[in-house]
Amino acid sequence: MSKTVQCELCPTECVLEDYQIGGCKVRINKGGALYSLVYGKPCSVAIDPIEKKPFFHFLPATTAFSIATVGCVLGCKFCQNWQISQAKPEESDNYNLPPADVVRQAIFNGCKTITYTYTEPTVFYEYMYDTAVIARQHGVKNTMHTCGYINERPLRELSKYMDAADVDLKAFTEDFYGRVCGGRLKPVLDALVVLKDEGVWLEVTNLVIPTLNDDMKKISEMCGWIVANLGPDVPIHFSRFFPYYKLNNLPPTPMETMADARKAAMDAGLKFVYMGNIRSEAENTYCPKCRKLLIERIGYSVRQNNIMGSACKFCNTRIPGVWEG
Amino acid sequence: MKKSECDVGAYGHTPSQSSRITRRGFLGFFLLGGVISLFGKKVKGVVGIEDEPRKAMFWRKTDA
Repeated sequence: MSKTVQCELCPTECVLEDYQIGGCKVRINKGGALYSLVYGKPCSVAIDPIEKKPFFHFLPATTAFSIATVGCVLGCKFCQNWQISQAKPEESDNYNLPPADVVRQAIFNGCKTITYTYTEPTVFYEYMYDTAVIARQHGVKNTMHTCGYINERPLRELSKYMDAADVDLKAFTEDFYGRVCGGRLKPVLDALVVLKDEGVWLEVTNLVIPTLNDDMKKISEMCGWIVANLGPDVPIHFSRFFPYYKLNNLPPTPMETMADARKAAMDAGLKFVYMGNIRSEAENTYCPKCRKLLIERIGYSVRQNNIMGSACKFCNTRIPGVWEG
Repeated sequence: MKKSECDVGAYGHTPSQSSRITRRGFLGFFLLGGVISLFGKKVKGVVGIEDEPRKAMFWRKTDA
């Protein structure tokens, strides 16, 4: 009898012979059954401001108990965490932290949220799922920062317990995903629609890389797609690129390009457009109706919050997001 | 008979009350160590079971 298995978690769908490890480096076929090699073994554990994820419309000024294991479903040349995302389980120092202990630690440290982040949480799906189930039972919210490279069935199952997702929409061309990330764009767009459909609070992040994905026509097209398929209320974060990992030859994103991207998004109809990795007023939230300052941010810290309940304190316009929990 | 002060050692006890262990004491400690060691191995064994890889969700056996 064949001992070959096919992983159905991410769109790569690796076919694995006995004792072969998947492209993500953390799933192994042992005797005709697929196992996770990183269950309960995070390599990164930290308490971060929720703004760092980045979530700007989800419980502002609270902390997130953040965990990650090694591994990734993609191989982005600009990865900011490549030391762990491209590592094998045996190459990192891992904690022994079962799901119940993650929730216990989150509660003990006063975190309202557990965030699955730093690397791609899809690769530690079982660990994330089991933790999310326990967290939900104890009133702790679950959020993830993901590249959205995950199949529909596991994503719908996970969405039952996921309160919010920040999805890296890395570019709006198949060519970029193929050449720079080793993946495809279509499954990411499908995942965004599934998350919206499942009622998970969504924010989108786009890293603007000079010469590779800074074409304003494509950025406008991407924002138009977001408005049409996810709605104009979805916050988008344009992050400034800095040379790193395999893209050391490129300069940091010019400020003009960042401003142009922001304008393109607003012109496309998106109401909440932010810029990351830059200190500017584009870190703040403004009321889309009266234009008054709602949330003032400096870096990851919130200086003032003028959202009462879920509405603008000045004109009572409802502001989309999760503000209380 | 009351002992004279010169019989008291530097640490407040007489030489006859020194820390020399008796045969019975040694045997007691030896057995206690054995029991603790066995218990320790048992605990380690339980951790070992937890360390086994977790079966993954979302995969299938291929027909080939």
